[in-house]
Amino acid sequence: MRRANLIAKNNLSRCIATIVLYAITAIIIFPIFWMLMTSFKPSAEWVTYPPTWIPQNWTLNNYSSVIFGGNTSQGMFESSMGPYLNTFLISVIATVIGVSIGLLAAFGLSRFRDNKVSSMISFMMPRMFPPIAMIIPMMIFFQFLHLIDTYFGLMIVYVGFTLPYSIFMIKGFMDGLPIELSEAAELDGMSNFKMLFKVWIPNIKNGLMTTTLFLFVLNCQEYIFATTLAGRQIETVTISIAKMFSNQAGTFYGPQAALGMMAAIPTIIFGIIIHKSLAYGFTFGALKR
Amino acid sequence: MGNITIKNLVKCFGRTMVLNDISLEVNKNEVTVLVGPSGCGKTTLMRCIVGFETPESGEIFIDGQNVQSLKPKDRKIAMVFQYYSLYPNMNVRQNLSAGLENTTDLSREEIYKKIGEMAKLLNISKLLDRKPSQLSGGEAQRVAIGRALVRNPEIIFLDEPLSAVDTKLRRELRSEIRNILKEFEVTAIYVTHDQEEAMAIADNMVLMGNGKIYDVGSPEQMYREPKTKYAASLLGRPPMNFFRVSVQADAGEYHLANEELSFDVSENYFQRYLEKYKDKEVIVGIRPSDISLQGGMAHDTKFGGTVEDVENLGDEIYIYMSNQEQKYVVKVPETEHIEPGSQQYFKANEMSLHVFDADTEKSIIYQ
Amino acid sequence: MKKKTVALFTSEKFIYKLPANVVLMFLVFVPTIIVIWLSVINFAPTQGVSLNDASFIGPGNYIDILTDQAFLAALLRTVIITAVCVVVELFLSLLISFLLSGKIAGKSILFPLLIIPLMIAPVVVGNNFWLLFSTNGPMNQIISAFAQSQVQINWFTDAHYAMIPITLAEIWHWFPLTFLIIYSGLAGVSTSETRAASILGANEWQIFKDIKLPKMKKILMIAIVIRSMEAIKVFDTVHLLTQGGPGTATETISYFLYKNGFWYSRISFISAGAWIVLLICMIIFSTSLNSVLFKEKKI
Repeated sequence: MRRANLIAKNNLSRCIATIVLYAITAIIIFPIFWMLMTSFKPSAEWVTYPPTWIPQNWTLNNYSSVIFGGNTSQGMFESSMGPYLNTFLISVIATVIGVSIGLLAAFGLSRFRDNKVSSMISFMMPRMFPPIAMIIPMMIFFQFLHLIDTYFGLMIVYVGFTLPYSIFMIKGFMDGLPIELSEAAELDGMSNFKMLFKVWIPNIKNGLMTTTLFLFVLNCQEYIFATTLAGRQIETVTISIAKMFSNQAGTFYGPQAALGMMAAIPTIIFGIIIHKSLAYGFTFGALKR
Repeated sequence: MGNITIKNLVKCFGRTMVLNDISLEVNKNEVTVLVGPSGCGKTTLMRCIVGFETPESGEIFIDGQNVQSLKPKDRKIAMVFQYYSLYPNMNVRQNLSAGLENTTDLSREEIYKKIGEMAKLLNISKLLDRKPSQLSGGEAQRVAIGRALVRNPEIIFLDEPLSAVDTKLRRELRSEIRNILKEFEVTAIYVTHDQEEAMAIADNMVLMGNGKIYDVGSPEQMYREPKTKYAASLLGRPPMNFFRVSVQADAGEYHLANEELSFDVSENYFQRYLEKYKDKEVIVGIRPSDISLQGGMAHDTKFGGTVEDVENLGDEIYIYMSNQEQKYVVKVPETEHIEPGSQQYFKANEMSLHVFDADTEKSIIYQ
Repeated sequence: MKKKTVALFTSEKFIYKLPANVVLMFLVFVPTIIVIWLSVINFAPTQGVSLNDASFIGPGNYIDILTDQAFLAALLRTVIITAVCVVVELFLSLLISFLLSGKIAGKSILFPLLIIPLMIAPVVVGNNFWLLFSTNGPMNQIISAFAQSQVQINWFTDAHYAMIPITLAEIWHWFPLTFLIIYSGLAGVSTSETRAASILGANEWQIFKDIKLPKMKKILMIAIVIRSMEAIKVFDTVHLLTQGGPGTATETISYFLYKNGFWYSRISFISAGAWIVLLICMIIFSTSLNSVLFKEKKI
């Protein structure tokens, strides 16, 4: 009897939990839903009153303007595929470099058991500085080095500003490896370098995936440095989106939403593929085994 | 080859002195077991010899050479870790070959040949393509041992290899391990906290506690003639019983007695040891198995009391006695019928008594 | 002495950290030097002091900025936004992580959905929230439905409300990060104690409250530190939605620096400001991390 009550109580609480969870998720998804709908709305419906939740006149015009360039009723603009590819290219390369450099530095910290807070802070500094304050010095510096508006320049910046996360996430995964594993490798005659590639990296593959995704997301979304240190020759998706307005017609919400969705798709897909390892990947080493 | 000499080793972790002036000789081709409770320093001592810890002071010699400047991988040693520490990303074959690939110039074929031979000896040939996660505990352990032995080390270290294994398997595996070690004629240093395991595996036992070595000797030696109360209490299950008594001499007869019991000592040579302790307090130790039941109360032994509890283990019975001041355990064959709460009387052969100095806790008989 | 330095620089550890250090030197060290240099001169191009004319004025800029009411107000606003974001996100993350730990149908669909906000670029988030919170937008519509009367809040032009859409945009975008940290942390603290407790009849909530939460201290601290670090820099959304307005109602530190730097060209002024922000961050984070991390002792 008591057991039946317990089961019923369990089921009830599980029901409530499920409902609450779905409700919260719905609220969180709502802005995305809105964005998605906006991307299919014709310009007339972008800012109507009362707002239309589902487009009355579905259109693919926004997407086609973004992909092929075109003529909306508000004005002409070019295809955003160039910037799209730019963003992809820069982000992928910057992410790969960022993970690689971060991996080496993380190994330097983890293998040699460096857990001092001072080491942490020194590697975290790029992320603590308000980017706004960095702009002017960086502009001066980059002018001097002729790196303005270059792929290389932007990539270096991206690598540098994601390095803190790269190092600390990877260090977290490395710290999770048992010390005995390295001791066994040491006795088997492996140098630290060999150990890194033969033992450490293969055993933190999931963590490296998670770190790669996170860095990729951050790089794709970067705006401030892209506008100030590039922007003329090299345009990224974020710049394109910000540029989608004209003084006469206001902001082109439709194409912005369309491009925004398109920009998010690769990262969303990547995220879905590895979502299982995401669930274990963000402790930054706070929990040791 | 594989003699180890340790002189005056001291190791501290922070303010704690984990190894307190340890000196030890380990003979080649013997299985030497470092045994003691957790925290006694046995693992630290082993790790110092391996080279994973650096002692504060003292010297370590292997085959006459001071190895402290050598890195662990250069000391011609191998180790079996407590949780095997196999490389999860490699299969068994690669785990076994890792050492040879990195420390020797042997060709692929030669290495695989050696692995094949080792695998046959350890009965793991069919496991060569499996990954560690697909192995059972016993299998993983054999692979770990194989990985250590395939490099032909002079000394092999085993760090509580059976602690992760369930009890039933433990007995089987420990004789297997001993056989493998003896067959390979390698010097082995084995660390465990389980004294039964230690006694079963060791040629030579090193009893440690609180960072010091209490006793060194063969298992039988240490069991029958423990030099310290510590050694006496550690070996044997159930552990030895201890009683605080005073030595009373009385017309040619010696009595070791306190308020509740008394033992007579009539043997001459035994009495000689007790001479120095006349009218002083000593600690008497008797193993539960050296105590036997007595029908009625006899005049020469005052040794008995009320039974507090009885544990029937099938092939033997433990009687838990409790008097005013002391508790002790008696082991009797399963044919006896003992009721809790009853009065029982015992006798013990005086030759099975162990006597320890009350202050130093060292045996006054065995030095 | 020389030997020691050589040894330090060729030690293995140093070599592994070298590429990272090179990048950071380039990216952080040099601009930082420039910022420091700028902060102790009086460079202000549109106010008549070009780079060549600028002269050393020592702590002048620092004093100016620390006594600037607008700066202090911006600092306060930023602290408030950060605190609100962190608290709300922590609460939400803990709640959702707890709910997800039970048996829920469709967990593997919900999980990715909850992460998506992080994948949308802040510029896009900004525009999206502009639409959502526009005077004729769905937010007002929803509120009207609940309030049973016509509600038309001018979110972006009303100083009382302007902070709300910005804060919500920030929370919405960054919540997945906090959530992932907390969720990974919770997944990691499941131990034999948890299993023992559930066998003994404790329900999920008790297990969560008495066993898991206490072990989460380090995780929570890391979540707070990381999230705060990002929150302090909030810029994209402010720039897109309110440009710091109306008036200065939503002027955060980043925006204050932006305005003074790009509109009024008081470069040296904002350099000092940037340094102060950095120093505050470093002090707060190192002390909080120290207090949590130093509980670990080497056995």
